[in-house]
This record gives sequence, structure tokens and C-alpha cells, in this order.
Amino acid sequence: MKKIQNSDIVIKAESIYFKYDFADKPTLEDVSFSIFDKEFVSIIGPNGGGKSTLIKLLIGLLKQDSGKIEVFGKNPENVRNKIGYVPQYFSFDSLYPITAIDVVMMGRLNSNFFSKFTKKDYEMAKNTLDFVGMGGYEKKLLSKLSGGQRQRVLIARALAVDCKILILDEPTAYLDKEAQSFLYKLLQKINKEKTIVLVSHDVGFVPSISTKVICLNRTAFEYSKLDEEKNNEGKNEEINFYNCKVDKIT
Amino acid sequence: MLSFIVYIFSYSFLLYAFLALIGISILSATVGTYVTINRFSYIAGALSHSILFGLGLFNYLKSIFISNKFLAESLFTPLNGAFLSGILFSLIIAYLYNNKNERLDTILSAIWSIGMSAGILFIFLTPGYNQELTRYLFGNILLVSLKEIIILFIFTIFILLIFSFFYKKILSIGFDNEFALLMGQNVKLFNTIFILIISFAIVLLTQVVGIVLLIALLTLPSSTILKFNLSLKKTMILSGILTFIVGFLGLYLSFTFNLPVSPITILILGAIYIIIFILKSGLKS
Repeated sequence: MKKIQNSDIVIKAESIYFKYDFADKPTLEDVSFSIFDKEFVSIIGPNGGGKSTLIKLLIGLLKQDSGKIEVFGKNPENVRNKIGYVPQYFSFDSLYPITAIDVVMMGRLNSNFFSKFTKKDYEMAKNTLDFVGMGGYEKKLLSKLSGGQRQRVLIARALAVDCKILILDEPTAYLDKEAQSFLYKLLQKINKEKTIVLVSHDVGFVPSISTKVICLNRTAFEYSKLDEEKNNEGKNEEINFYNCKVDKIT
Repeated sequence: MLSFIVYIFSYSFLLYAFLALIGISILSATVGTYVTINRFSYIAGALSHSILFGLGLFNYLKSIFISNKFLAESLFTPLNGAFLSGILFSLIIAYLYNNKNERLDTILSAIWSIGMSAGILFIFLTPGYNQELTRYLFGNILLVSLKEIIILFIFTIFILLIFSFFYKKILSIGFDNEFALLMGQNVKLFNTIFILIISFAIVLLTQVVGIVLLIALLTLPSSTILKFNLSLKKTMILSGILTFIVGFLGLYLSFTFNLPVSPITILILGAIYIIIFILKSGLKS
């Protein structure tokens, strides 16, 4: 098992509160957790449990009402280039005329208003497409790719940022079994170098490679002994904690 | 058809219409594809109708200051009024859009109808018969002047340069503005500039096709071509070619059967869109 030290903390959330203006109740209440370097963290919880809100807070698109979020010891807004964000692939317009390589190149966008992409940017984008197993698909339109392939293009885009943390929003939704297992293998490969945070509404299943499960339903419960139990009892045992019932899958 | 082509080079008004059609096709295809992929057609609709406010107001002011040559002929021209009201409404719409105003569609409807009503009121108050304003409402490519063609072409070249320079950013921000924002892009500034550009294009196109039919010209060709799943560049080029061919056909039918050119052109574009839509949906299911 990886030896984890306090100095390796990459994300630290301390009693976060967040409420939308239109809502009666807070979406997040007293949420605290820590994520360490090169961990594989699964955040699960029911729909409306605040998962998407939490992601937006982590990448600095929203600001918490109280509490503290630190990513690499800094405000999330200031370390956006260290986070690779993979949104849900089906949230995009299916007719939008963009090619796979152009999607990945977005990861090389420069904040200068008049900046242009360089040859190096293109090569980096091409390499990440190769890495996710989408080499040769550069000029293909996203609309002509399958769900799993679109997912991988979006992962390549996040990797093109040269991030340290990869955050994926519901990556397995609407994917068939084959595409799912491909995705898990890919994430395992990425996990050797980067921290992975995977968000899923599927409370029944968590990838067995997770080093930690955070159950989020307005507030967060952390469960981080998956590794030890796997050694003791093997796969497929059930973990009961608070309101979440979790089956580990391979 | 062959004799029609001969006519084009014998009558200057037909030649001007033909030249204008080339400019319109390039401009409306480029800006129109941008409008369609960003789902801005309601924004373009509100802009195109609300500029009647500026047109009407400046036409009214022109009639008041008719004795002053500078004011009447250089400052208070309907075209200037349209540009200024276009800028004003673009900035309001861009602000609301950028701040994700939940009631954007309601506010767009308000801008749409208030701008148009104010315009019609000023037309009513203006003494005399306003042929120019009728033209802005319904357009007539056969009345286009050489000066208007030159302005149209200069602006079209300017638009092409901007779109080719910002091509990748247009593509990226339109696809996923949240991610673009994470990458440090000034998405709000970008949207504002391009909504302004849409308004300029609308003002210039209004002179030729008219307010009422402009939205069709901006959205139908690009929506038709988008059904074929091509890259953005190809979609723009083919939309331009489609607009040109149908515009030419419209011109021919209008000339031969003495029909108004804008409605006939839009009807053909609409028919093509519906046929492609049904064929493509049928193939899917």
C-alpha cells in the first residue's frame, strides 16, 4: 500500500457550507474531507446530494458560503491549471461540429486573448489522444464517435492541461460494460501519475481501485479502508456506512 | 435560365443584386453558422427586430432636422440609427447572457417587441411616405445600391478575417464555455464582441433582405448543413454555397414570375431544411 503522509494532501475541504440563492436548504452542509496525492477517490451519493456542486467548488466555478477549500494549499481558482475536469459527455450538443483533436486542443488554451495554438500544443494534444487509445481519430467529428470514445476524448482534453488531479463527473453513465471496463483500465493507468476523483450517482458500485469512498448526501462521510478490506476478504463484500450501501466491483 | 444570366450582365440593377447576393451568402453563412451552433437564434431575432427602434427614431429625427444638411444626410440616417440601437441592445443582451440571467428569453421577447413598437411609432410620427422603412422591413435585393454593396463587401472581408483568426476559440468557447473559462479564457468579453458582430451583420443584411426574413437567412442554411455532420469550416462554406444557389434561384423566379424575391428565397430554403430534417430523422429511426 502507498504510504500516505500529511504533506501529500492535494485537496482539503473543511466544513463547507453552500446554499443556492433559490434553495430553501443548503446543498452542502458541514462537508469535510482530505484527498491525498495519487489517491483514487470515489465520491458517491444520490442525485441532488450535491455532487455537481462540490465539483464546481473544487474547480473554482462556485464559491462556498463558509468553510475552506484548499487545492495544493491554495484557492481553487488559482490552481485551475493543475486540475483536469472531465464533464459528462452527453451534456454536449450532439450536432456540434468539432473534431476530436480540436476538443483536446482546448486543454492547451492560453489565457492571452489573441494567443494562437503552437505546433507543440498540437503534438501534446495528439499524444494524449494516443494515450487514451484514440490515436488516428484526430480529424473525426465528436458527433460521429460512440459514447465511450467521446468520454476518452474528454479525458484526453483534461490530460492535455498537464494536470495533477483528474476530476470526472459521472464518467460511466450510459456506457456499456465493455466501455466501462476500458475506462477503468485507463483510469488505473492515469492513476499511477495523477490523483483521481470520480463522481458517481450510482451508490451501488464503486471501482475496486478506489482508495477512498466519500459518500455525499448534503454532508459527507468518508470511508477509506477499502484497500485493507480487499486484502482480507477479497472482492464483492458489502460495506455499510451511514446511509450508503456499497458494492465494490472490479 | 440562360437568358436570365444574359440579363444579369445587361441590367445594372440585376448585376448589383447578383453582386450583393455573393456578399450576403458569405456574410450570412459565416455569422449564421456561429448563431446556430451557439443557439443564439433567439438573440439574433431580438436584435434584428429591435433595431427598428433606431431606424425609426433616426428617420424621425431626419425629418425634423431636414433643413440642416449635415444632420439630415450624414448623422440621422436610418443606417446609423440601426447601428447605434444594435450596439445598445447587443450590450444589454451580452450582459444578461454572460451573467446567466434565468429570464433571458423573457427579456429578449421584451427587447424584441418594445424595440419594434417604438420603431413603428416613430415611423407613424414621421411625416410623408416612408419607402425606405418599408424596405428595411421586407427588403428588396433589386433595390441595392453600389455604395451598399461596397460597405457589405468591406464588412464581409472584415468578418472573414476575424472568424479565421479566432476560429479555434470560436469552436472551443461555443462547445464548452465552462471549460474555456477554466482555461483562463475571457469568455464574457468574447461573447460580447461576437454578439456585437452579429448585430453589425444584421444591420447590413437588413438593408437587403429585410428584418422580417433575416432570421431565416441566418439560421436555415446552417441548420440544414449541420444535419450532415461536417466540420465548422465546411459547414460555413457549404451554407454559403447553399444560400447563393437558392438566392440565385429566388432572383430568377422573382424576375421571371414577378414575385417578391425575399419570401420566395426563404420559402425554398425552408422547404430544403424541412426535407433534409425529415430525411435525416427518418434515417435515424
